[in-house]
Amino acid sequence: MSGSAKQIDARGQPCPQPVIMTKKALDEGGFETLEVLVDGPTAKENVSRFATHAGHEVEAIDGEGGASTIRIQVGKATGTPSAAATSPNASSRACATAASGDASATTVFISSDKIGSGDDELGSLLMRGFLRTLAEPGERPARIIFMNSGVKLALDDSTALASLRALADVGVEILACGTCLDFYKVKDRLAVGRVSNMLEISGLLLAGKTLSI
Amino acid sequence: MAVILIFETIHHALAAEKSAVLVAATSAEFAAGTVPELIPLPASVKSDCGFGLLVEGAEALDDDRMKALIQGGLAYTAAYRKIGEEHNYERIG
Repeated sequence: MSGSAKQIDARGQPCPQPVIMTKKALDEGGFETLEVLVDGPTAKENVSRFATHAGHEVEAIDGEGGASTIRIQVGKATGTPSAAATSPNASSRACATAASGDASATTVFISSDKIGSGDDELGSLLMRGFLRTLAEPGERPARIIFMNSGVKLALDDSTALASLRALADVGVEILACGTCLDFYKVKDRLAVGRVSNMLEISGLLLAGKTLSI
Repeated sequence: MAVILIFETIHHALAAEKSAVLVAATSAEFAAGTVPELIPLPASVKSDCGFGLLVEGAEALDDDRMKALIQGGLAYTAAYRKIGEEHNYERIG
């Protein structure tokens, strides 16, 4: 590759890491061409769609064994989005959904410690009930992302803590916005899950099916 | 044994939960850490408000004691015993 090219290897990375790695590299910049190595059709499609939507020219070159190289010409989109980006099924083919097509591929995005607006006590009860129901046997999301006052649900005094711990115990990823924890001065009280940031969260929300509460 | 108490309205249910949490925290009849809480009910349990008060470790409580758990004159309209981990309930009162 020329000096204005960069290559990243996303082979073996679980969804949505290839998209996150691509976004990070594009954000850092300093090159004209970015080559992303992936090892499956889902990652190929997601990275291609993401880069196309971001305004870059994308060419996917298939290799052996399902591997592909996605060549991204930075900022050279012709204005005609790729088939992957315009397909009516594009969103449903996002990584997690493509992998299983069920709720276990869904990200639940919670931006408040209450459901809806109106009475706070009712809103709190509904949120508590929702998380408890999620924790019961049956279909579960891949992850839950908390932002703004939603992070309070993952604190040590949360009435939803038992439900969130039960979800974490069965593999549901719990992510809390670090900026929000910092704003509310409760970073040291996060009792379940881990701290995340806008880069990771935006990547996860873009990469798959999201249910916003 | 886990018992679920049903109330006439969600307002009664919310008030009952507050009362029961206080009573459970100070009563020797409840194991330490037992916290009554409102939970969503399955369709098999008839309730207008959709939530019921779950009281864990209620085997030692007879009907009068159960009523005493809910202070402030709030009466539950039905009581169910939870069977197993699934949504199986048997009406007991």
